[in-house]
Amino acid sequence: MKNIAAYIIALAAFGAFFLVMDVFLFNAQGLSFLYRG
Amino acid sequence: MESRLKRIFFTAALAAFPLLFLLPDIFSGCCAFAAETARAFGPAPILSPGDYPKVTGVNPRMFIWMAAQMHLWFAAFVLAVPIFVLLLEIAGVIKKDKRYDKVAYEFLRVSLTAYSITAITGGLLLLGLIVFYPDLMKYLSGIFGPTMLLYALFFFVESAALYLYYYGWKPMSAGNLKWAHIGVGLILNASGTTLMFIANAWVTFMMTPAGVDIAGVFDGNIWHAVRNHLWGPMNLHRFIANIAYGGSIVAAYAAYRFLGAKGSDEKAHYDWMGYTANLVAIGALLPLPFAGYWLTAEIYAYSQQMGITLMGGLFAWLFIIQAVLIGALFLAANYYLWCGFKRGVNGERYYKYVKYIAFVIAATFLVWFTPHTLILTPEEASSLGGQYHPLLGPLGLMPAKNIAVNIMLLFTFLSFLLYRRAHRTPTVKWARIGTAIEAALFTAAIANIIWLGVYYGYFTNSVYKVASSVPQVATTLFVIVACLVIEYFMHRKAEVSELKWGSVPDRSQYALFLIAVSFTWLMGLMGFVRSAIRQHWHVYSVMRDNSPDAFTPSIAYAAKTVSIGTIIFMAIIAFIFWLSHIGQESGAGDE
Repeated sequence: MKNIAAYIIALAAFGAFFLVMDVFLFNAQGLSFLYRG
Repeated sequence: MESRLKRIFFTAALAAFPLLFLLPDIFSGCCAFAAETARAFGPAPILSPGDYPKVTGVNPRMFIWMAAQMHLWFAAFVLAVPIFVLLLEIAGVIKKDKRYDKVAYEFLRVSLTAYSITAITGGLLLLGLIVFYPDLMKYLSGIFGPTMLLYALFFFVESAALYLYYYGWKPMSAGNLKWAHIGVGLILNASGTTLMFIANAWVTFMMTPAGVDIAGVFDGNIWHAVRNHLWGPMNLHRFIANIAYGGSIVAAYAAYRFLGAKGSDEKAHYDWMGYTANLVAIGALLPLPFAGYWLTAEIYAYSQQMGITLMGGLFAWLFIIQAVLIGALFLAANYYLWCGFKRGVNGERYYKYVKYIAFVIAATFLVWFTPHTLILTPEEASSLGGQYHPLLGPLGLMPAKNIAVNIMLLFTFLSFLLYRRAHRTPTVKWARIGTAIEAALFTAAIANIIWLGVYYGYFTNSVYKVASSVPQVATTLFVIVACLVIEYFMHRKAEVSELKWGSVPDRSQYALFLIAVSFTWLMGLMGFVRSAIRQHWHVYSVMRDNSPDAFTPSIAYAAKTVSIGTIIFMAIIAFIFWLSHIGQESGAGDE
């Protein structure tokens, strides 16, 4: 049970981390993370 | 006191290493000053077919192609081996483990025979160029003459350092002399790498000339010509690739010796040697695509036409062959790791995961080499409704391939993690939670890679499509670093059992042969592409190739030529392995 909880918490944490990283790396290339066409 | 001296010497030697890399800059600067003040330069010659000498029965392009290719393969090998020989020697001193020293010395002995063949093929290439392309050589030496002299000087330094390094191995094996020996190794590597940098300047100038005007008139500053657009990326790409290549050839040597080993000790030794060399090869292979990306970006930036010829035209098909070879290489690397599970006491427990990893790697491999366009008859195209397959067509685009490559890298890393765990039992209480965190990290990373590739690759514009590959790569790198950190803390006080070296099945060794052959083939094919995108130019857009061979050969012709070259090279390498083996048996090479 502990392992499943750790998995879910870590999944949420790393998901959030990757999202922030994506935003940062698009910005670093002069692009907005949100594509506006 | 002695250890303090060692530290001082070692620090000084390490500090001297980057300085040695600056030597060509310093020399080039001096040469530029001399050249600027000495003479005026004419335009590039305009040649006619009659200006190219003919030798009955010899095709000039084929002669140069083969000589250059052989020289490059051997040169890559002999430049790379001293790099990790030195690293192993330092590791042996730091870890106080004689095994490293023994293997390092054996690596060096294997490469020693290859040095003379490198020089012979280099001589053949030079003579061929002088005989068949005298006007081109005159033009190039008019610009690069001083660097050619510098090349000769560094060749002398490298040879002297090599002999001192090899023959001094045993006399300089203890005390401060050992550190002096490491210093000689540093000089050997610095001079060898500088040699490559100088030759790279000539090659890259032919692709992206700088320091000359549109007619090819040289401005007199040699540094402008040396530091052309592709020089930096080519230096980096070849430097990393050489390490990967050298590792793969030495691993193949170890496999050869493993299969012929008589006793269990010998088998264990060559198993360890093969594993170490392969680890170096695959470790260097991982950052290679990023150096290749830089090289290609610079080609596009210099000439979009050259870039499109490279990846959007005829040569795109060679990139499909490249994908097949690299995919085969990754499959072989994974297979070798899976066989290696047997070396650890816990290895059996991880076999059940192999089928899933194999499935993912095979699936990503298939996506990677799916072509965008298909070679179809008119009837087939008509029944398909166009040139693109409705389902497989999207898989032929770069976003799908970026997803596939990143996932393939992650699963290869997973095989490596399982291999490491095969002989370690963690004692920390949070071991299972740590594993769950690693699993979550892999899941989040794969989701991120797929979403970036699918959304930005297919539903936005090209700028976003290209830009999304950066966070994809960053995700993969983050997983590798983060998992290694978690693994380090998890296994810091783990129960570590002795690895059973030599216990792997014989069939695992054939994977090492496959990796070496794939590397060789890849270098030949992609080297041809890189050179051929100049098309009908000796020096792109400056000096036209008007010889009868100034046409782009068909892919089949190029593939056959490179394949024959690969067979010849591997035959010579097998001969070198055999020579090294009999040399060792008679004791000639050891003492």
